[in-house]
Parts: sequence; C-alpha cells; structure tokens
Amino acid sequence: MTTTTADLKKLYNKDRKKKILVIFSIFLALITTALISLSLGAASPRIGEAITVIFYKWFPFLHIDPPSSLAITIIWTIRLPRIVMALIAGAGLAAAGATMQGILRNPLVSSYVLGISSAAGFGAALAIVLGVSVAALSGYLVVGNAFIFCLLAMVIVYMIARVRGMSSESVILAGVAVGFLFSALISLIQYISPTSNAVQAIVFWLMGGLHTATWQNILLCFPLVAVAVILMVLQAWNINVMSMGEEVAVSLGVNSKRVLAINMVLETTVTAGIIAFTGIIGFVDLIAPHIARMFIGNDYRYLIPCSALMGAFMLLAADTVGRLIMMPTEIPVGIVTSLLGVPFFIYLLVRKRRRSFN
Amino acid sequence: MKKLTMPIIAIILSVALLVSASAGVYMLYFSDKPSSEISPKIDTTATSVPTLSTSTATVSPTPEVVQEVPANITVVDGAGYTVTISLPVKRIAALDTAVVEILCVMGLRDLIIARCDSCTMPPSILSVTSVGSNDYEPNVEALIELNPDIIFCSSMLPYNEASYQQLINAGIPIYVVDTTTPEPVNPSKMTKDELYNSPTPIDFVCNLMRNFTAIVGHQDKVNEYATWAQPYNKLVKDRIYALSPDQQITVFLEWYSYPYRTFVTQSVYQAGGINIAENQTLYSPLLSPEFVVEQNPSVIIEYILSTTHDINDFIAAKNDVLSRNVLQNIDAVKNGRVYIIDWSARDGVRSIVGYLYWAKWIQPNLFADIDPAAVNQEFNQKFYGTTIDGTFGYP
Amino acid sequence: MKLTVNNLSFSYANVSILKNIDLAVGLGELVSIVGPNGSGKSTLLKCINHILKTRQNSILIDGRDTSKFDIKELSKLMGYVPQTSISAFPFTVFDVVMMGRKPYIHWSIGERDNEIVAQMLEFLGIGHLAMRQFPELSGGEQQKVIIARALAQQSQFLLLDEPTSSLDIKHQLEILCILTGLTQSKERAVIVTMHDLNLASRFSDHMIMLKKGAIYARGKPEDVLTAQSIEDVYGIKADVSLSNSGKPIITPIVSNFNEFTSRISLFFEEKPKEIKHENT
Repeated sequence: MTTTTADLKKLYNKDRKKKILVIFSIFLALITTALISLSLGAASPRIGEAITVIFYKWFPFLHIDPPSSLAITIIWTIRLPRIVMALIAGAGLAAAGATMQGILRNPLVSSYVLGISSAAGFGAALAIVLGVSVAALSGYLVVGNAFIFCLLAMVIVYMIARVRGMSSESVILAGVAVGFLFSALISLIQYISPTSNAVQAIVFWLMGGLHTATWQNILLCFPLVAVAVILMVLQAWNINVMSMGEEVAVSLGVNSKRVLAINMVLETTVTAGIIAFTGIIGFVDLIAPHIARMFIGNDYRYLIPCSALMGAFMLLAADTVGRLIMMPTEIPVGIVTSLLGVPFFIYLLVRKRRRSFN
Repeated sequence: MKKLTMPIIAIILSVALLVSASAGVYMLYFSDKPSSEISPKIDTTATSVPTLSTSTATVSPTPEVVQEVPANITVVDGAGYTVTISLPVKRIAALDTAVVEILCVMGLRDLIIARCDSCTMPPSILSVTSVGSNDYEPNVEALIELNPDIIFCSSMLPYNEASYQQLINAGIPIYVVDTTTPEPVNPSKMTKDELYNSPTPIDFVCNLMRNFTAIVGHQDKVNEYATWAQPYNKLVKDRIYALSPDQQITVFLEWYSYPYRTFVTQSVYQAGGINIAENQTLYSPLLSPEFVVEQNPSVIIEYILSTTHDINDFIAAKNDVLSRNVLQNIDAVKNGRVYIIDWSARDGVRSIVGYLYWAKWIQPNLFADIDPAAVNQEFNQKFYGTTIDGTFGYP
Repeated sequence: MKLTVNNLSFSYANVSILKNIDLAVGLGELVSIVGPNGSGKSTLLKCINHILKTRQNSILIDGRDTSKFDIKELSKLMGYVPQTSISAFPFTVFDVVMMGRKPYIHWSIGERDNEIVAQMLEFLGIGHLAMRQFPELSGGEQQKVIIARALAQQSQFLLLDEPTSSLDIKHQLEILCILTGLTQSKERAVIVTMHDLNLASRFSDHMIMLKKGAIYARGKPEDVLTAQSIEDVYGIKADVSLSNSGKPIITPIVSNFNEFTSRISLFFEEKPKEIKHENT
C-alpha cells in the first residue's frame, strides 16, 4: 500500500504529460476542422484555391500568380474571417465560462445566468431602434452599445452582490435578476418599436451568427480575447483554490473577493467583446468547459486552455455543419451548436465514470 | 407564521375557484346570447360563395339596394372558415394593411372604425382608432367595445386562438383575408404562354376585391380599379413575353433587416428575372454569402418594412448594401443595381406599383418609359383623391 | 514563535459571539478548544486565521499585529483545516494537496513543490489515493488529504476545526496521533476544536473551555475538566476519574435525562420503559 515519494512524483508528471497530450490532440482536431471548413462551402473554391489565396495574401514576396478574384473574395472576405471569428469567439466564450463556473463554484454559470447576454441584446436593440436609419446595422453603434450595456450589467450585478458580501450566490442571483430585467426590456422595445424593420433586425441580432465577421471586427476582437484569456490562465491557481470554498481560499492566502471582482471584469469584457460583434451565441460558454472538464479534470491551469480550444472547436464545427448540411441554405450557428452539442454532452455525461462536477 | 400559510393558501384558492366558477356561469348564460342570435337564424337570402372566376359582367344589383335590405350572408373566408355576416355592414374593423387599402379603394374609408398601428396607408386612415400594434394581438376589449359588424384581418389573427375565439364568442364575424399572392410554380419549366397566363399579384387582388363585394357591395369601384390597373399589368406581361430567355437576368432578393435571408419568390420570372434561390426548398432560407457571391446576381432587391415610407430609410438601406464588404465584386454592386422595395408595394392594391418597379429594375431597357413612382401617385390621386408623400420603391 | 490572542471580541451583526478572549500558544503545544455547540469555538479559529475580520491588535505573532500582514504572508504562518471540505468541481488528491503550496507558487509548479506534496502524501499514508478524485474519498481519507494540504503549507500554526467529529474511532485516534506527532519536534503548534472531551483530555497539552463566547477555564486537562466545570458549561452531571496516565476520564451521568422518559408518554403511545443505568 505504501507509495513512495519518488513514485508519486512520477505519477504526477505522467498525469501532467497526459493532460498536455489531450490539449495537443484537441488542438490538432481544431486545425483539421479549420482546414476542412476552409475548403468546403456553397461556392466552388476548394482547399487548393484556399491555400493559394492565403499564401498570396500573407506572403506577397513569394510572387504567387494572383488567384481569381472570385476565389479571393470567397476565401479571403467570407470563409477565412468567419472561421477565424468562430475560433476567437468560441475560445473566448468557453474560457470565460470555465473561469466563472470555477470562481462562483457553480456548474450552471454562463453569460446568460450572469445577465450579460440579455444586457448585450438590450444594448443592441436600443441602438437599432434609436439608430433611426436602418443602416445602423452595419455601423459600430450597435456593437458599441451592446458592449457598453454588458459592462453596465456587470457593474449593477457587482453593486448588488457587494451589499451581500460578494458571495457566489449573491452574484448569481443578482445576475439572474439583472438578466430578467434586460430580457423584459428587450421585449418591451420590440413591442413598442415604431418600425417593423427594427423588430426584424433585433430578432436577427438576438439569434447571433458568424457571417457578419470581417477582418476589422477580428482586429478589434482578437487582442481583447487574447489578453483576457492569458490573464485568466494566470489566475488559474486562484481559481483552483477558490473551488474549495471562500474560507479555504482565504486561509491559503487568496483574497477571494478581489479575485472574484477581477474575474468578473475579465469575463464580462471578453464575453461582451465577442457577442457585441456576433450577436448572442449561447451554450458554448456553458457546455464547452464541461466537456473539457471530462477530458482533462479541473486543474484550471490546463482547464482554461483546454476549454478555450474545445469552445473554438465546438463553434467552428457547428458553424461548418450549419453552412454545409443544406448548402447553399445555412442553418444559424446557435441552432446547430445545441443540436450537436447537447447529445454529445449527454453521451459524455452518461458514459464517463470520472465525475467532472458535483 | 407556518401555521398561517396553509389557511391563507386555502382561502386564496377557494376565492379563485369562486371567481372562475362565476365567470364560467356568466359566460354560459350571458355571452351565449349574441352568438345564438346569429348562427341559427341565417340563410334568409343565403348567397353562395363567390368564386374567384366571377367576371365583371355578372354584377349583382347596385350596392345601394343591397345595403337597404337587411339580410344575412354566409361566405367562406380566405382561411376556409364559414362566416355568417348580417347585412348591411355599417361598421368595419380592418386590421391588415393590405385589407385597409383594398377597402379604401372600394370607397369604404368612412365605414372603417378600427385599424392597427401597422395600417398607415392611405394617410386619412390615421384618424381611425387603433386597436393594437398588429392583427396578431389586437386589444379584444377595445374591439368589442367598438362593436364592428365585421372584422377583416390577415391570417395572423386566427393564430392567436384565444383572441380569435373571444371575438367569435362576442358575436363579431371575422373574415380572414389571405393576401399572400400565389406564385407561379416552376416558372423555369414553363412555356412562354404558360408564364404569360399565370396570374400576377394584380390579377389576384382584383379577384380578392370581387369576393368582398358580396359583403360590402361597391362592385363599380372594383371595376374602376381593375380598368385602371389591368392595362399596366398587361403592358408588363406583353413586354416580358417578347423577351428572349437569354435576356433574363439573375436577381438576389433579400430581407434587408436579416442579411442573406432570401425569398424563393418565383414571380421574379414574371418581371424578366431569375431568382438565384429558386431551387431552395425552404421558402425563406438563409443563404450562404459565398453562394450569393458565386452566383454573381446582376440585380439585388431588398425588401424593407417601412410604415413611415421615409425615403431616407431607403437610401440608407441601399448604401448599406453597396458598402457590404462581401458583395464588392458582384455585378449588382459594381453597377449600382441595388434596389429597395417596401413590403406593402408587393401586396394588395399597390402590387401593380411593385410589379412595375420590379420590371423596370430587372429589365430597364424594356421599361424606360415607365415611372412606377408616377403610377403610384396616379393611383393615390385617382382612388384617394390626393397625392401622398412617401416612398415605396427606391430608386 | 508565539501566537497571542489579545482581548479578542467578535460579533455578527450585533450578536456578540466572542468576548474578551486571551490566549497564548507556543510552538510544540497542542491546544484544544472545547465547549458546547454555539460557544464560539469555530468562530475563534476563523478569527485567529483572519477568515473573519477582527479589530487591530487582537491576534499577534511574536508581538506583531497579524491584521497588518499580507494575506499571503499570513498563509505561510497559519494553516487551516475546515470542519467539512467542499469542492464544487472535483480535483485529484494530488491537486488538492498541491493547493497548500499556493502561498509559495505563482503559476508553474517547481520540483520542490512536487517533492513536498509527494512527501506529505507518503507521510499521511495516502499515497495510493494520489490520483483519485477528492469527493470520492471517505470522510476519514478526505480529512487526511486536507491535513496534508495544511502541512504542505509549511506553516508553524495549524488550526483544525473539529477534525474528528465525523470520523470512526480508529480514524479519530489516527488523526490525533498525527497531530501530536507534529508537535513533538517543537517546530509547530496545533490548535484544535473538539467535542469529544475524553479525546481532548488524552491528547491536549493545554485546554480552553469556552462558555457563551468567553473563556470559562484554561490550563492542563486535569485542571479544566472537572465535574463542576462540565456542569457549569454543558449543563450535565458527569463523573470525572483519572486514567492510568493521570488524564481525566469523563463519564456523563445519564439519569439526568430521565425526565425525557417520563415525557415520552405524553407524545408517544408506547409505555415508558425504565432505563437502567450503570451509574445510578
């Protein structure tokens, strides 16, 4: 029965290598999916043209013969930005979801529960209605307003929760309440909206999707998500410790209230930065972390990167399936994510012996 | 505290029971009366259902005479419901935009006593009491209080089963008008003559109006409208008939507020175009942007829903589509052939205006002499007696 | 190194929990805190560890006010084992013990951290559980894992909140033997709250008896555990005898509860049975 110190260290290092291997496998799956996604679509360009276009655009010094302008448009302005946006959005949403689930010690936490999604929806709806001109759709008014209202929701949740001592329950309850408030306001706006166009545009926005992706959006989104995810990974030990309860966290030298506040800001900023551009994409931030937990356990040093990769994979796969299955008709990504993600999640839930949450 | 909760719940429950029971009794004995008055005592002068093919020649007696003889009439409405209406009809609730315009063209503006917020044409209708934002959820109480002889609505109202039943129970006949224009099936496989003989929206609306005459009379006004509109209809058909198939051009229809959501509208053929989404199975699918780019449509037509008919909305929509990154290399955008049409110009009495716009936009060479906006004003002048500021198509 | 509690008072929203507690613990001591439910034992531990905020200069280490310490510095001096351990998402035993290294690590784990965690697991004889999920373990195993975590913290003062209350007798003795062993080298002090007076008596160097948030008695077990103090604090009569090693053994006198047997007939229909007791 006695296991020596040396054995234990070996065991632990083996476990660590296994985790890194899992992350690497998901990464490979992600790259494969991205290549498949890049080479398939309703229009004719396939992998060959796709690679030519990318080389042509990224390495101009190679002096490749310019591909057809159709191939450039399809690969460079449609498919590639959409794939990149799916990766960024999936990774950011899932990493944020994993982090907040850990910090709040609750497996059901998502951007919906914290009121962020509804706030973004309300911000966008308000901008669409007040934007007078329907052209507001393409402008950054909607994006900016959605983002600002996300942050506003977070501030409200924070203020309410602070009165109740910043406990995890108070944050979740305040989030749910604020979420309901903003949902009601969205309905109200739709109900009293003077023009039917605006109502349609709101419905469209709330459904979310990736086909609005452009390189400009990606340039705004990517740094935000990258920095925030890195900061989340740096917080990994704090989150680990907080999973054992607030008292234990304090006794282990972690200022739990401060960590909670920092992560609320991080999570909201990432989620807001993404859904302001894509519209509300739900579910990924709830489920991707749990699938990652099943693969890799709950050590957040590995879980956050793994969740990010899993979220990116899920969203990209769902969007690709949605693009291809009824070509050239598309199925909105939110529908596909749930249709594919839920059975997969239930399968893992039933099959896997390892418990990933209590 | 706990000891109190159970009795309180019991009291609340019993009060609720009492209230609902008495409401039930009330409905059984009191609200039953008007409906029993109507349904059994019909058929004094039961008219058969007017068919779509009623020609203008077989006209019933003059409307004045019909209105003076009180009688009941039983008809089948656009949703297939049998409706019994007491004549003459003096108070009309018209809850759908297209229906309001049809009735106004028929000279019945003064009989309309209720509308919805979405009904804004003709402008004189704005002084009529509104009973809700649209006919899916009208305010039932307000409607009953206005005591109309008949409610004209689109197929939205029966979807709201509760309200529909409440209104029926209140003894108000509801006539559902299906304003959705039937479309030619598989026009790409039709011969020129088959396509020529397929009904257009304007044929459809003329028939719709003829159905109304059994209830509200005014056959003369219907004839007047048909006499004005049919020549334009024929003009477009004749010129499209002369078009050779290789002159048909590709069109991408889009719902402006929902990018890449299209319509598999086959009537594009009747205006000399080919809908790039014609082979899709869903009626309003979301298209892959790359498919649109590869199809390279020559014309893009954007549908918008404009209740204000403000030209700035149309201009903004056009600029928005022209500036869309993805569409930069397609012919429609390169040649600036992006057009914006209001939904209401495709339905009802104004569908002739929409038809002319489509024809002019898709085949500009054939219709250089036609100015749809002028035809629209001509319509306003002739049937509403005034010009109306407001855009239905742009440019 | 010496931990001093200086005139500590604490209240939750105007309800006073602790009143004027004074206490001193030196390295090598095992101090047990006893007292009835609600007497403030757990609160006292949490105040000492600054999980609950106290007034300045209430808790001192070598005369320095711990409320001015950085929370991370404090966690290197004091380890805490809560009554029950929750984990919202299950971690492996190795990871849970590794959390004890939190005050020393930033992100990556060094060879030394790895070594210490492995040693602590081996020391507590739970090496075979290293890769098991923490929530799957039995109560006794969980308690050992959490003690291993506190030990991995390498702190001088170990605070344990009723570490034996949910364990069987074998695990109770095992845990207390471990705690006693930890104080032998005079490099650590252990402060532990307890319900079982006999265990407390057997293993403590010093005892504190709390009554309604104030110290009722303190000192060696034989001084604290008297029939009089037990009656005053717990409200029961007890026989106190001395074991072979000179530690008091407490035997409650159960006849005090005979009033319940007479009351039974009022609430249950069965006939009251006379309960015979060895002490009466």
